[in-house]
Amino acid sequence: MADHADLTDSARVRVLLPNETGIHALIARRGQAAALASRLGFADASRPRALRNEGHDIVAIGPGKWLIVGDVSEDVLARAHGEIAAIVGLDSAYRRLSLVGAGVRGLLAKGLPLDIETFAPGEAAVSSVAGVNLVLWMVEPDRFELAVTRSCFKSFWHWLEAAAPRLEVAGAT
Amino acid sequence: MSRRRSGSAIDRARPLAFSFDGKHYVGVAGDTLASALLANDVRLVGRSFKYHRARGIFTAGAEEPSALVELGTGARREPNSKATTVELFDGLRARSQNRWPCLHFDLMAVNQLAAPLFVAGFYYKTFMWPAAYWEKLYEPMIRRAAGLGRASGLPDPDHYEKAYAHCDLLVIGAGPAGLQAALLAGRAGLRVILAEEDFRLGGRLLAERLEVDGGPGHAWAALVEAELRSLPNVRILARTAVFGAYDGGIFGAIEKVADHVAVPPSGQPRQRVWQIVAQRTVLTAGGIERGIAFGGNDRPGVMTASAVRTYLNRFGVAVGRRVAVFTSGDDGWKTAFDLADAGIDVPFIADARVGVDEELVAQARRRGLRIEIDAVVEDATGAHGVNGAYLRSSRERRWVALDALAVSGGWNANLGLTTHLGARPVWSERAGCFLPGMPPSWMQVAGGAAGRFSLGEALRDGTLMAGAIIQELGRKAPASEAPSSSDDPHRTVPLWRVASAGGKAFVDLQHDVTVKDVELSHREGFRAVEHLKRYTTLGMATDQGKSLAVLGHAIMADLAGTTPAALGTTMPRPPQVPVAIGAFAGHHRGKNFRPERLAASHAWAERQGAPFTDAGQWKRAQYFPRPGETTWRQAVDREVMTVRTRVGVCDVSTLGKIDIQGPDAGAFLDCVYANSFSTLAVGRTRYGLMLREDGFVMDDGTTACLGERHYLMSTTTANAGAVMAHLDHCHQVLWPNLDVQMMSVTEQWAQFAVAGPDARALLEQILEPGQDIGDAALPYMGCCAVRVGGIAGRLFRLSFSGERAFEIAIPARYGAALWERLIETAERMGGAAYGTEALSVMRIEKGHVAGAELNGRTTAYDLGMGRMLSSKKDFIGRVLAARPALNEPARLRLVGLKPVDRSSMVRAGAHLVPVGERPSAANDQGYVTSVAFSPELGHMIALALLAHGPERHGERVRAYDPVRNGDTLVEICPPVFIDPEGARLRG
Repeated sequence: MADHADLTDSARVRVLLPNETGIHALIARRGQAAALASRLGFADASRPRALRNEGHDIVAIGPGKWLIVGDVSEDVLARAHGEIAAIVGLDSAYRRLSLVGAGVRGLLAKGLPLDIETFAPGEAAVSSVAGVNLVLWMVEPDRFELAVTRSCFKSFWHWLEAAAPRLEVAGAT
Repeated sequence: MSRRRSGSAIDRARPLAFSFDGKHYVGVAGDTLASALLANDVRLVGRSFKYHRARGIFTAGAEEPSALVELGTGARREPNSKATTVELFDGLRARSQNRWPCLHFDLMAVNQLAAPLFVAGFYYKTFMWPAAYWEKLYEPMIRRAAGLGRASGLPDPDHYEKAYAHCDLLVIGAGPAGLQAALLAGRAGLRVILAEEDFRLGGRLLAERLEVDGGPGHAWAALVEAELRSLPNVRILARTAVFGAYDGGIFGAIEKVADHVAVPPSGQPRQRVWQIVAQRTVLTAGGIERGIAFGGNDRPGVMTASAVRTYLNRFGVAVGRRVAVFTSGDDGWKTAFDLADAGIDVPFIADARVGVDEELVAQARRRGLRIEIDAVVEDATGAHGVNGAYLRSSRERRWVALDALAVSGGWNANLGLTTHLGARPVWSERAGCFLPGMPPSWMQVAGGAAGRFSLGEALRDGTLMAGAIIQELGRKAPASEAPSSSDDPHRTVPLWRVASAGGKAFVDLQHDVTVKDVELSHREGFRAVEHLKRYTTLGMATDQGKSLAVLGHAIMADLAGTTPAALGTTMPRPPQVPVAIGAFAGHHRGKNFRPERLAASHAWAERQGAPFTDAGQWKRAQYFPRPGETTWRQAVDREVMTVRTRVGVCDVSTLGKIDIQGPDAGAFLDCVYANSFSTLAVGRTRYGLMLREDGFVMDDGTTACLGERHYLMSTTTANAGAVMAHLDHCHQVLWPNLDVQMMSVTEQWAQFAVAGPDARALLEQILEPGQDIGDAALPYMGCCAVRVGGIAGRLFRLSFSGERAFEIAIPARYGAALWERLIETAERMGGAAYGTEALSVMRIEKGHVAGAELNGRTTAYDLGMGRMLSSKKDFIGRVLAARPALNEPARLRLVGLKPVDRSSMVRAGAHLVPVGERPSAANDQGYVTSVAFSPELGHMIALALLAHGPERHGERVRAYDPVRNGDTLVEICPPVFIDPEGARLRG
């Protein structure tokens, strides 16, 4: 049973702006989606959709497609998965941030059309907030990881400031 | 405060000061503006829309058609607020509207003298001629005479926000049925949202003297509310009206977060629009009491019987000292009893029915009430408020003095939300009203909204429906029976009109629609309810005719010799209640109207004072003005000549970029492009033309071969999203057998064009040493990997400008740094940045097609690229592009134009007409698509689409522009104006 998010509690939200990290997309070759999922640690292709492994997050972004978020080099990925997946560097395609605290769900409910109240560790989604495309995932409680389309980050930030006027912003994770 | 007594939902110990039309009054906490005005003996509240008749408070809820006021001052002034729903707060300032010079002496009331003229359709019939007067004279005049208050005209100072919510059960309405359903579902663990338009939960339990579980109904409501608030799985949205029902269990709701305070607290929105996705819904919006159409039924002091009870029981306000009752059902009797028990003089209770329950009569007699059976009120009298009424019984017609008249013509089910998805209401003889038709499977309707108006029925409905939903959703329903309650009688014989009425009898108080208007509509043939609505505006006002419009429908049925069941009623559409445009917009206003995409060079461009143009969501710098330049042309001409003579740098990051990989990537490109790509060698780039299935050009761009199985496609800025979707469709639907992987990388790469004779020299200063980008290593249309300051990038030998040019790409996070370094280096060499204006001038000089030519109606043949269509392979659009009509020489085809008088102006959009012919559609041979002033040539140049175009080089035509009074003689020429051999770009 999920509780209802409190929309008035944005004071309890911290925004963490991590240093730029590596982001790569892995796209399974034809017929290799299940194999790639298994290698990445997803025994069941449908759940979970996000997990943390050896310091990087693996996030499902579509059928046969994952983001590897963290400092893993393209060469390492190519050696590990190159024969069954295409690898596309996306470290500059997104700006990363984390939203931490008990008020996060209430904050996100002001812009995210998903059922944020039931969003739990292991979940991931490709969605939008205030018209800005983003990838959202969760690997630990009360902390949402976001990858926001880089060119729209300023617009996203404007929404964030309007939705939560008393944000606490920190530079490190 | 002489009328104030105790009420179920007010706190008399907390006085609240407010003003109406500048006069100061005092209400109490829990009041609405309406109840506070009535408590202060204010009955005249406004003037009517058309006739400027005196109007008062007719109801006690959101269905109020009459008591509309202006609230707030300055930028926060808001017209047309229903006094019955405005929560009183300390310092509230309200004003009447639609009167001049003042409410009690409204000169516009002279309209009443001309009332016989102002019937339905008057404006349409009268202001037909001359037509030119409509906009300048008639409409402004009518708007001044007939109105509904004034908007502030100033920017709204408040913030609005949106919110999304998901739940198992949405309960709409927190009356007895809603509270019971929410309580059971909440106890069963369902995620529940309870939405209530009022600021207090309880609905009619606050307004009646009914009992639940042996105690006062309002006390039971308070207990239930307390338990609901203790459940974390229940969200209570008070002050929230659900205004629309949409497909798939989605609802729109407006929450008035801070309308009950003068100024929203810091950080809080004024209002919030909710999008609620519910698995199941129970609509418990209750019922709405109807009036009766008799003479003067709009006079201040004439109110619905339930409203009179509400003001008495909930707010502790007697609406008059001598209050009569006119009814055609049991409900009016309850009002008479409550009034009598409160010690208020009830001069009569007139029931239009012949047969009235004996128990009601006995109760009335015990209270000493004067009972008039089979009697009607024909006319209410009084200028600024009712002062009496003509009562006609079987025995006599007499005038009775009174200062308020409670009226009940029966009840309507408040079914608005059930019609939003197409369920047509059906007439019920049992309930005496229209009931919901067949709402969606996920919506159930309980209590009054379903025509079950008694308290017992409401509580039982809430219990049964919640239980069924709990089971449907796989939860265990807690053992529960409906609480015991007094079961109030609700027998009604609908009475629509009093035929013997002498005065104006209204069926729409907000739009001043009378019975006579309905009769006129019938005479003129507008008899269907939808025609009646549009002819008379019945039910089209902000109240949607909730309390009275059905009277007009039933009267029309009677006139047409049919029944309400056969004639039907109208189908309300969303929004069910008025919603401020600002609330719909939410955060998206001003600079946040829509998200902006900012290129890597944006901050630098802003610092240079560059104006920006929108390209989709992208902001692109148009040019970079320098001191001393007074016109945009000066800056653009300088930038063009800088590229032509030195070197320029332009941000082209906005072009779409798609990474395509896989063993079948080349084969896939052959499918989607009209020309071949599988033969493209690694390190080479090729211009590609993409057709739609119908053979017309969809997009163009270059694709580079980065590796054996690795390509990078570029698209136009405008079509980047559409091309990506097209490729996904092609792969997933048309050729799923191809082993190809794609990903948009537009965001990943910042890309800058470096163009001009010194382009290579500039890049050699930027790239890490030792990288050969000479003609041999990197010829025209070549590409290679490069390194810049330790960062891996890509370099493409491409030219849109016609000069020797490159495009250098680097991960976007480094884009701003690279841009500044490129500009700094270029400026040292005499070069400069250039924007989209210079880019456009140079592409026109080179005859490159762009958005104006790739307009969805041109073919490769039209654009002079017919030979690019491969005859050796299949591709999307191949068959339909070969249709003879798409290859007719007479088609509009690409040409260049030069003004014969080189100093003349040519404008884009001008039509091409043969010399000596009259400009007309019949003589129209084409049009100008793109124009520019070429600083190199010293005159205007243009691209155009012209019938038989390429066969007419050397001819002259008129470029005729009636919109801007342009008529220029132009010479037709090839579309490439500069360096047609391409020596510069290869050199």
